[in-house]
Amino acid sequence: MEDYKYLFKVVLVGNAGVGKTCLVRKFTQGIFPPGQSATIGVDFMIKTVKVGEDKIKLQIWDTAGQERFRSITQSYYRSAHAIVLVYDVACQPSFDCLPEWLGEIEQYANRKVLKILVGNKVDKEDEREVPERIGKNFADANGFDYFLETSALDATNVDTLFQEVATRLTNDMKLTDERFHNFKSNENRDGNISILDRVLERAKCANCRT
Amino acid sequence: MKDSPNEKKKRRNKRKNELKNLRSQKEDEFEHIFLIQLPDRPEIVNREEPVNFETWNRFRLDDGRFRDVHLLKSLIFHGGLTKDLRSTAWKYLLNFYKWQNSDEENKRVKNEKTEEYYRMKLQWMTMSEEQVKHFGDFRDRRALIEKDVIRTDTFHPFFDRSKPQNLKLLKDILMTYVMYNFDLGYVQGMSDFLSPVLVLMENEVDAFWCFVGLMNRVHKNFEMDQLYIKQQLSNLKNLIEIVNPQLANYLESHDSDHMHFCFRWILVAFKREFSFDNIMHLWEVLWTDIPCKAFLLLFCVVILDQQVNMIIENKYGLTEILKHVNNLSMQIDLEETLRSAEAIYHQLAAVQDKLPRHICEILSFAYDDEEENKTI
Repeated sequence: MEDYKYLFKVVLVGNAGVGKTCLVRKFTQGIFPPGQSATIGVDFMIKTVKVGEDKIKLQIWDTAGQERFRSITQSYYRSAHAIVLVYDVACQPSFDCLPEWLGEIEQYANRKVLKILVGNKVDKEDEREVPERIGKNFADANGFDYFLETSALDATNVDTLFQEVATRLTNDMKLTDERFHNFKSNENRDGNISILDRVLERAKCANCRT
Repeated sequence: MKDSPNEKKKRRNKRKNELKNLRSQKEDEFEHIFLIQLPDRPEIVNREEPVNFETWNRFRLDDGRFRDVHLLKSLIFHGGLTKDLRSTAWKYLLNFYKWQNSDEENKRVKNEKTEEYYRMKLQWMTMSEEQVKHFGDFRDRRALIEKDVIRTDTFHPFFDRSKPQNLKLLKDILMTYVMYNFDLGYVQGMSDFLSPVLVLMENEVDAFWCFVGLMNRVHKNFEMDQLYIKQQLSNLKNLIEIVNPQLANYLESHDSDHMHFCFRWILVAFKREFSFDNIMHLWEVLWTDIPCKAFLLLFCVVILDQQVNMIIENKYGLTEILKHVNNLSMQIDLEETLRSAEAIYHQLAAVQDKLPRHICEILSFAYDDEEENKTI
């Protein structure tokens, strides 16, 4: 059984087709799946990273982007440690929807959640509609903890993004001893982690068979 | 084999007392559970052979009209269709062709529908850029379709990037559907429904009208308020309470009784969980509406019932259940699950006079209002 210091839940949200699933898969599996089908409902993947000497496990949740599915995806925000709001730098409407998403986050996420803004698909420089400066300004003006531009296609900043999330969450966690103890005791009580490992292992075996 | 009213009443009273005893012993545990002793689940050993042209033609009269449609549907329910018959039979199952029409009448309908299709297609194709600029709702729908068309079933040879004409068909049909039903528009998951229909029909007009028939069956899944799909999830939970109270209890005590982990199953009717061949088989079975319209939910119940030990013994919580259920994709035995779902239907039908009203409503069992006070 893998040992690790913390488990963090990171939830990706944002309009349909901005590349949420591709970011998750690039980071967790190292692949960029061309023709990745639209996500229906929610799913998550796991990856362990190192922050200093500590092993940190990230549970990265991927959600359906279309507005009407929000009532289903909302139920998964609540326990998120970090929310990554993604737009497509080559798609102005996906940027124009950010205030709506912010409203969602404020309404359904934990007040102290780490908020990250990501402009994805910077590989499409020729088709860019949202300048980096505009994204950065929006992040600053709206209380985001971090802003970054990425490309799941050519891997630009993908590892950086999740490494940064892990580092910030770990530092926050270590700062507050009391919160740290609460977290550990919750974790032990549920025993969720070891069970999840087993589910994931079983999935791997199942995939091998096919 | 109907029971006499007297016997029925006797049985009900007996059950009432049993339930009372249970309640008095374990008040809390049974608070939300209608504990009903179900008879043994009948064993259905084999599915039938798929319906082929020979069988199909035996139901056709000389002019092309069908007789004994219910019996024919029942054969399709029990065995599905052979591949070569599918594109013909789906036109009927999806209500493009009418069973009661002669070939000539269906041909006339097809001509009319062909014209209607191209008229609607022209509506969006002839829109000027200026018009589109001032038509935000249309632009949003078009943008979503364009995003999904290039990522629908890309593994399938029909949608290979080397065949842009097929991707264009997928797009054109979805765009025309937007004109046909602008209020619903395009919602993610619709391209999943269209893709097998298009692959099978290989014809734009046929595929469109079959897709319309299919959407008439499932459009409520896609409505803005999502109330219908939540109702389906709630119905699923209610069925599990009857079929497997232990699982229902477990889900409830692990914050999972909203059943959101079954959302994908229901939204696109298992499209993401089966291969192309299998999904075609499952869908044609579902479209017969035999033995009831809620057969999809019984199909869900079976899969969860099969996983109950895995879930409970491993003490899965909300997160693990979701992962486990998502991972069942491409691992589900279609034939076995269909057999068990039918068996559960018969198991419940055998005790339908003891079932609470909401269950009778889900499964379309007649419910006797005068016996309203039968439940405690």
